[in-house]
Amino acid sequence: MTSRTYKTSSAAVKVEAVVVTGGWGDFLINREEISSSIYYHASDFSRLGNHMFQVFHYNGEDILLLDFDRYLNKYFSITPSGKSCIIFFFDIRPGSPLKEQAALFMKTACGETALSNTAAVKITGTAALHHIPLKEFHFFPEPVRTPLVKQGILCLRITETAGIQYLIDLHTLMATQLERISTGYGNE
Amino acid sequence: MNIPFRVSIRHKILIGSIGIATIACLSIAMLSYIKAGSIIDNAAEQGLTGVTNHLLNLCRTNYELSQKTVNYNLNVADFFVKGKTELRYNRPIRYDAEDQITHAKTPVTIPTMAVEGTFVSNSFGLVDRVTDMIGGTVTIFQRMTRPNGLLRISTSVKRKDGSRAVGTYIPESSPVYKTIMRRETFRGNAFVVNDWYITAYKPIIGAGNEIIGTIYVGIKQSEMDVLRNKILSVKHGASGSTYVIDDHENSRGTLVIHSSMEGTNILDRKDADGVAYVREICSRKNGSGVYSIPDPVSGDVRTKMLQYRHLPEMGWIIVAEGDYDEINSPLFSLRNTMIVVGILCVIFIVVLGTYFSNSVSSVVRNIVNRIKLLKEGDFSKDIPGEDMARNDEFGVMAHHFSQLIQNTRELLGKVRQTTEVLTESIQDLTISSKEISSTSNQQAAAVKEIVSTMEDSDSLSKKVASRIDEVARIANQTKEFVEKGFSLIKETLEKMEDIQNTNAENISGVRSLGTQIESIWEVVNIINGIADQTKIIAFNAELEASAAGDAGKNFQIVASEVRRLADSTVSSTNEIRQKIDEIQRSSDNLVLSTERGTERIREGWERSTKLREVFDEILNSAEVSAASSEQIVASVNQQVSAFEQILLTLRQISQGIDDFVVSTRATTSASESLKETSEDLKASLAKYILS
Amino acid sequence: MYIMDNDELIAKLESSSGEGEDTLSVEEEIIHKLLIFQIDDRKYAVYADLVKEIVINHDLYFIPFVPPYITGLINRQGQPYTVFDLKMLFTNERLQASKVMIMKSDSDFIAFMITDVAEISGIPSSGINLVVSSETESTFIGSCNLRGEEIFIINVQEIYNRLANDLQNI
Repeated sequence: MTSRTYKTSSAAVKVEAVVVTGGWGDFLINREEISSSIYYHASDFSRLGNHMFQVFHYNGEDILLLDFDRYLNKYFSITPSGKSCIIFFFDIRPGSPLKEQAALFMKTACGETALSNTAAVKITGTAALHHIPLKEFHFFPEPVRTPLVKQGILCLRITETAGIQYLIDLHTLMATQLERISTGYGNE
Repeated sequence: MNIPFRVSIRHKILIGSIGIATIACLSIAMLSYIKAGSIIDNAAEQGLTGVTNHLLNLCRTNYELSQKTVNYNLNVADFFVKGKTELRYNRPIRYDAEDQITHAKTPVTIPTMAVEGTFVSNSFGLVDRVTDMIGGTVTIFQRMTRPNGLLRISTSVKRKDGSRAVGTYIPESSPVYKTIMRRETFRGNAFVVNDWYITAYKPIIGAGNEIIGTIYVGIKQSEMDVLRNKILSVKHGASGSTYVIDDHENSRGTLVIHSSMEGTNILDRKDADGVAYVREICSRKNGSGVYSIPDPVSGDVRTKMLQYRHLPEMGWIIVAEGDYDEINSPLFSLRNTMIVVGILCVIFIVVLGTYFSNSVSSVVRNIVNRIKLLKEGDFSKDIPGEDMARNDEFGVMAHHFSQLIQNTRELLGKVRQTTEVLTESIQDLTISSKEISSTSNQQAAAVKEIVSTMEDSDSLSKKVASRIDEVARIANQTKEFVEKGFSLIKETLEKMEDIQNTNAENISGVRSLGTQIESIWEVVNIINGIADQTKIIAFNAELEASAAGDAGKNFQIVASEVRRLADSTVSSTNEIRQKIDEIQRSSDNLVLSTERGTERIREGWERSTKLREVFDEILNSAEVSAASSEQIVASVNQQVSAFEQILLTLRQISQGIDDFVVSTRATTSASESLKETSEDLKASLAKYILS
Repeated sequence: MYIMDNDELIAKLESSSGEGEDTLSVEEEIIHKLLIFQIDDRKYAVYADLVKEIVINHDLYFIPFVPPYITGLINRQGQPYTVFDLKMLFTNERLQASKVMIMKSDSDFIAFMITDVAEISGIPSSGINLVVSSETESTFIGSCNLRGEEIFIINVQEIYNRLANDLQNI
């Protein structure tokens, strides 16, 4: 995971983040991580099967796609429902463990090695861009902080209405899930 | 199709490659041979031409030089006789004048000739002296008449027998005589006595300015040794030769210069093919030719290539001769080399062709063998892998053929499976059609029974009509009784409705009580929640107070009291809850019992309503019964006619079922034949071996 | 339990007057304040000075990748707390409750889900039976007797350590 340090307690510093809302709790994705996004109808993906990771053919490229609904269902016991899906595309950082894990996954699962340098995550729900003051972000309390960060759930945000939202790092989240699959720990 | 004879691909390739190679080699060899032969012939011809041209030029040059010498000699000889010669008529002399050409003799008497007072007739001192000075030959002629000519009276020209040719004369037909008579000097080659000379003749003029004689000098053409040697030394090749043939009229065909046959006349000589080649040469004068000439000594016939040129000044034909075999020996050597090379090429082609033909024929053979197996129905074997691994069209063919076998095998397998399924289905169909056929028979029988039953019903319905009148009468009586009962039921129903309405009001009152209890319950819950929260707040306060130590002691007491108050509130609300529970249970019981009573009242009311409805129906029925007797009669009559129609229809149905039975029989036989066909197909497929 | 007669009693009262109740001479017993709480029907205790506050009906936010006895997070005045389910920890059954007991801490920020709070009781040291230390630390510090009922005292630090160990093994 790329080490990110925030300035301490400066009310003027704001983080641009995408808030994804689906009625099952909210998640934040740092805007800097996302390169582009598209809306799709949920039924378009029914033919791709029920796997956490899929190969999404878009714009002539084979893109590794994380089905976030499956992820939520597995780890949060949530079953999102809705008609609209958002797909966030992001560039795989060079030297990131996600690149290696993605190539390994493709080779063992599909026998293919040609994979785009872009990855994607599909989420059922709606998204909105917010500028969130840095002071609203908090670390998880110890000792749960370490394992959550290792799994890509970096920190939380306490909203004005005292709700809690989780900030996720897509690279770390996808890389750890791929590693779990490849070691057989998280059989999908 | 009968194939009269078979040539395998291997042999075809072998024969074709050998044939092509042989034809190519032969063609190249022949072309090379012909071309080389042509080149050699041209070279030989050019060589011989060069030789003859060289000799021609040599002879011509020599002749010109000789002629100049003769001219000079003539001047010398003329010096001795010019102005110094006279005829002595007083001393005639007699000669037997011999024509130097015809050799005809004629006796003549002529005056003697003297040069500076010395008689020269039959005297040889002067001519010899001049000869010694200038070489060659010298002659003094005296003019004679009857016959006209120039008589040799003193000469150094000798006959063949070595004697001087005195007494021979040049006839008047000779160009020499004619030239002298014109008082001109004759220069050129002339025939002197018995040979050709390069000559010069000058008239001797007498005192009276008349031609009295001629002075002559000459060099024998054939005695030009240097020229002769030169001609003989020039050869074309090791066995070539050169020689000169005399073309003068009287001596045509005589070998003037030859290495061994000089003086021999070969004009009539012919070659081995009978061609008079010498005569041909003398006729054509310039040219070339190839002749098969037998050797004059050994008699061996050799093919000679001849090149000849005419030297008119000397009346010679210069011939250069080359041995044809010697000329073409390189060609023969080339031929032999080509033959060897050709044989080697053919051998190489045979080896290569054998290799390639084997390579090609093996894969073709394998495919042919597989085709044979396929013809016999064995689809289990595939093309060998090494054939399919070839990197050529045969490999592709083997690969595709193997694919064809596999696909056909799969197809036959599927057809076989399908045939089995089809056979089973046809079997089932046959069984079903048989069952349908038997069922149809049963149905036909059953329909026939129905027809007979309907006929019985028809007669029965006629009997019914007669009893209807009696029913009408009884129905009217029933109607009166029912009307009375109906009015009693109606009063009862009105009473029950009042009871039901009163009951319903009681129930709604109890329900509203329950709703109010629900409201109280909610209030109690709220109070309980507040008490709970108060308790928690009190606890938190106690916590803060205990943490504060002494300073929080009083606050702790207050917090503790508040907590107790909250506890007592909670316990009070619990008691209220219990009381409400009891009230609710009681009201629930009341509602239940009221509802049970209501249910019974409702049941009773429903029964009464049903009873009223029944009475209503009975009344209606009675009325209907009474009023409808005639209608029933009419209806019965209609029924009778309807029965008859039904009977007719049933008879048609029966007929239809009979027809259906026939068709099911036909279906059964069709399925039987289908079954046979599928079994035939199955048997046909059984002969194919798939694995 | 410390047993004394009336004279001794009066003497002690005179010597301790004007001082805080909690201030005793060296030979006096320390009174520990224990907060008694309930998990379902069972009562447990925890040192009251370790407890920050009790809250009720707070939204619980689920977190994954943690042991099952961690029910989630709550937000209290802008600070997230890790909530433990002690019933799950002790009996492997989930607790259905709406009250949460938030512990004092500068860094750990933990809380426990409880059915109800009972009281805050002062128990002298002699009334607390400490657990004899063994090779591993116990979940309970010890127990006390309150009106004839044996109540176990929770070892908060040990529960926290247990979580840290379990997270390392996940």
